[in-house]
Amino acid sequence: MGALTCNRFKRDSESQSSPSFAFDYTHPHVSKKLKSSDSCSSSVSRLRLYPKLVTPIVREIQAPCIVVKGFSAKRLDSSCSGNFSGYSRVKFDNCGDRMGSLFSKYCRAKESAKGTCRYVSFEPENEVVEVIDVDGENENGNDGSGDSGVEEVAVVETEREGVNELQNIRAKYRELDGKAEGKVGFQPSTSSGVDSDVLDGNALESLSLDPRLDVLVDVGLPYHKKLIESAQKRDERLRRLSFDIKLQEEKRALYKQLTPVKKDESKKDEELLLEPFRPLTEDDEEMVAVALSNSSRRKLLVTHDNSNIAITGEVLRCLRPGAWLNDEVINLYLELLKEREKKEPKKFLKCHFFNTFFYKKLISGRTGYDYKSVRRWTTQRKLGYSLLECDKIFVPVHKEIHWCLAVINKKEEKFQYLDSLGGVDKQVMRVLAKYFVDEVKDKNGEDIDVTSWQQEYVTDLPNQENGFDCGVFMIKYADFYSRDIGLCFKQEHMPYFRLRTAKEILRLRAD
Amino acid sequence: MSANNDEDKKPAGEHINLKVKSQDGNEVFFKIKRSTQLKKLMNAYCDRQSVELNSIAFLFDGRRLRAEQTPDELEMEEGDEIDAMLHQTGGGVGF
Repeated sequence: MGALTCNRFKRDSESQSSPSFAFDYTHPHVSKKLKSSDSCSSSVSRLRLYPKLVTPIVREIQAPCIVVKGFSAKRLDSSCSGNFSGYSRVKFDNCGDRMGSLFSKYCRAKESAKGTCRYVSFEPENEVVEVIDVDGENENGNDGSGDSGVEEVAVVETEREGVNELQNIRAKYRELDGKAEGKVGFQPSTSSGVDSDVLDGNALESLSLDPRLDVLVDVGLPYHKKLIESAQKRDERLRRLSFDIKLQEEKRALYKQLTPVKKDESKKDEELLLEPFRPLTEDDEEMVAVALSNSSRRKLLVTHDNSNIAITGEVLRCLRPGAWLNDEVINLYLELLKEREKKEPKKFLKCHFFNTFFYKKLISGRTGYDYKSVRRWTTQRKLGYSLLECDKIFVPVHKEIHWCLAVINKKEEKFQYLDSLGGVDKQVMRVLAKYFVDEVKDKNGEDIDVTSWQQEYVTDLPNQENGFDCGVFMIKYADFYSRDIGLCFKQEHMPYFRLRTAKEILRLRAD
Repeated sequence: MSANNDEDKKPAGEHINLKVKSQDGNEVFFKIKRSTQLKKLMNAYCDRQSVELNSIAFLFDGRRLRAEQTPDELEMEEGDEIDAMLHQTGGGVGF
């Protein structure tokens, strides 16, 4: 009984310390309050199991809206809606001066109610209006209406909370009570309407005010149970959070593990794509400018020993903007591409680059196809490899005043034709198919069937937009294809490519 | 259009007969000393064809010939063929 007295005392002091407002506030639940104190006495011994937690029971029932807070506070953040911020602020201000210790709880309840204000629409209209009116009246210092405003919100809130939490709470409560019953042998506690509903419908008929209040009371569980519950909820949340943390950490570790590799790869890729567009150094630019100038016209600028191609200033001038490319510059550049590949075989596809005369020679003769005339061009002794070993074989095609490129693409088993002006040449395809068969038979003694090979007129390629850059396009098709990258350049790159090609020829080294 | 060169006749082995073939199929035969620079042959061909030396690219088995090279150096054999190709240039069509 000592516990009960203490309980009562506390309740009294509580109601004394809180303004009359608090009393009014709980007004609708007076009968319940009475009941609950009654039930207190009947369940004293049960409550002894949790002596320290008894006190809050009464307090809870005194201010039901506080109860709501216990369950709704957590959902505040997510359920807050900006639409009602003004509404809540008004409440906030009104409460501020009056409610003292209840202030924060009240506000929280308010805010949680705010989140569920859409439910207000399900309430009778005058009730909703009341809520809003109450705020206005509250400003004028009308305590009573202020209370009802709080009440209203609380109800709205509880209804929703009730729906959401009822099952949990009931289960919990039943469990707890069952334990208590089993141990002490007393009747289940009647401290709340829900309990009585669940455990013994008749025991607390006097309590059944209306379903709403039932819910209210239902939520108004003894504080200890609520604490346990909220603690458990937190436990669960913590567990979830710790799991999340673990997960994130693992993810991070995984990413870290992947990142260096990925970085390297992307770096490589980037470099691979940047290399063809690397700007010339100042020295290179100056060298090229001098070589292309009028004063160098008659000078022999560079001689390539392997191909015996000698480049004079006059020849190199074809790399000046707007000039047509000549065979010597193209052939030397293609030689340099081959040397580049030999130096770094891993970086480039294994290719063979025919010179600009090959195709002309191949189609010479009366029949338009003369394998014999080029048979000796590709001996193992001369090349050090056979064409069959190559991934791609590049065949420049000179058409009177135009440069195109044909590719025997063994890697993808197709014959390709690239014309910067979008032209089509069936003869090239036919002749090259025939040539490749003859070549493989002659050099490797193998019969190769290329009838299934695709004949592709590459249309998805950078197009020439003037009447002079086709040669640059052609050598760049070969350059990019031998790098095994897409033809990711445009007409606008041609001036740069001209300078770059001049530099590479002067340095006798393609990069 | 085939014609023998007017080079001095010398004992076989010292000399070698070479064929110069233009890209339109015309052939011109030359007899040249193995140790003689091909410059001589090139000049003779251009004179005969009335073309500028620097407008023709001479190829042996697809590789450009330098005027200073000799048949010996290139390990040329009797009857080997030299291609005389016209230099090419191009910029595009339709503009």
